[in-house]
Amino acid sequence: MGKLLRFEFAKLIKAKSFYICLGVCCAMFILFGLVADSDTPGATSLNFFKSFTEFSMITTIIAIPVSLFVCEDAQCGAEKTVLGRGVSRTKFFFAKYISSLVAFMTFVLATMGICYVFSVIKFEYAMDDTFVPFILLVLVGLFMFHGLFFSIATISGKNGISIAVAFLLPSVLQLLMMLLDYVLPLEGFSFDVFSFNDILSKLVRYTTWNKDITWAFVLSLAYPCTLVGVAHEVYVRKEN
Amino acid sequence: MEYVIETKNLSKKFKTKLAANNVNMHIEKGSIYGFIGKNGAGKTTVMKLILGLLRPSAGEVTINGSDELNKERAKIGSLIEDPGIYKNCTAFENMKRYAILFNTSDEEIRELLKLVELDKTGKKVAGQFSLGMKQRLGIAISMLGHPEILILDEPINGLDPAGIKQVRDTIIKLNKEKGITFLISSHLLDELAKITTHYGIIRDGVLLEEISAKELMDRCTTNVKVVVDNPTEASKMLLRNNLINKHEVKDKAIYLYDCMDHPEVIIEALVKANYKVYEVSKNESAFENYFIERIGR
Repeated sequence: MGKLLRFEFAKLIKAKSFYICLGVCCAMFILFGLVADSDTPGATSLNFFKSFTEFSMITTIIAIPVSLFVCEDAQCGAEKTVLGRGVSRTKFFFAKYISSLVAFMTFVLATMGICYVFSVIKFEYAMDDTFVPFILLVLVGLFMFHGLFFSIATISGKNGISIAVAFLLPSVLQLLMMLLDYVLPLEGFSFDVFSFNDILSKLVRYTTWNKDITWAFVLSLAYPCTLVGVAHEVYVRKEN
Repeated sequence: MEYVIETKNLSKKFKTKLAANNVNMHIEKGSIYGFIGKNGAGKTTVMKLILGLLRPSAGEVTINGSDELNKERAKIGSLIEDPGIYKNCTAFENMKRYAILFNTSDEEIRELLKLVELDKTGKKVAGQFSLGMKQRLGIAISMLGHPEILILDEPINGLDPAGIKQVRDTIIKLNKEKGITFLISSHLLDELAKITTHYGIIRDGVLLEEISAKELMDRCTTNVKVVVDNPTEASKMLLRNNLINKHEVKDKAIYLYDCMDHPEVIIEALVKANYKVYEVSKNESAFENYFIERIGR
């Protein structure tokens, strides 16, 4: 497993798509910050950082390098070369999962770090005790999106399909949930709570811990565990 | 007989199509086994079954006499369909990446690259390599970790004559110098015939026949043509010495229809008797027909 992880990490370091997407994310943030008015009342570094994190499309952008990284081995034939040597499919799957998760989290933290430094420079400095839980909840929410993107890429094995599905699926799912809410209106319950976008938006709007946050937190852990479990089952049954 | 790979009634069914049908394959240690069949005959399917990339519908595979397949597969290098190359990396970087899995040193990587003549590609990335270079890099990658067996699927497909020669020379070199056993599939008969020691002929998923190159030669050789300066006198001399029997002299040559297994004895006798020998060749026109009859047009 150690060798497989090193094999995957060696690949990640050379993955240009990660660096390009990181650059795009940071450039978006800086542009967003440059056009924002720092004289607006309440425009503090913390508020700006939180609002950018909510609207930055970071989840959409990260779908690209995750899909490219996961599908690369299948598309170039490396997967056959490695599996043909008797390497267990389960080990290969989890090596890929762990390395892409580490890369994903590094990407997110790097983006957030750069964004934070910029927001402190541009806006009035502010800090409160919601900051650390906010960061942790954002990471949990993005952990869920990573699970989704990784599973799609592993099952499809094709860059184009993975990226397209990763872009569209969260929005399509949200539309379906809204449609269900419309067709089956239930008092005190909304199907939308199951959509990925709704879960993430609840997590990034954290101010105090409440029932909605608990529900979003549980789902954001349950979704990736289920999705990665399903993707693993599909992968070990897959034939090359 | 020691077989490094043996399959027993190996079958693979895709929906309604039986891509491999009760295949009983025997690959001897140190041999170059040419796997011949038309496109879609089932060559790649059988290779993938051996490597565990496909699960058999029935039958079994044994490698080095063992059924602990994953352990034994670690001793097999393969090149199936695509060479498994990362296009944004150089030849060395590609090798280095895979070397992590096999604890291979940089020195060994350089030796392997030299063996496949890719040691001087410098900073050129693999995406800019010719098809032949990519194939050779694929072979070098499959060589990492000192495999005892190499399974190569259509390694010369799409290559130009120079590329074919380079791959062919590499295979011969590895077989002779490192004693590696090869299983090579191709539908290019002439090319395969230059290197193989054994053949397996597959058609519609059925392994029709396994035959050694020598047996095949015996079956296909119809005559030996010897061009000498005085064929009539030379043939009389050979007859007197009981070196030939059934023969004819025409167009300044002697055509031998028996004693074809040892043409060197005849050449030696002719040279000792001071005849000038210009050409000795086996007429193997039946070779291609032999395969075509079996694999179909």
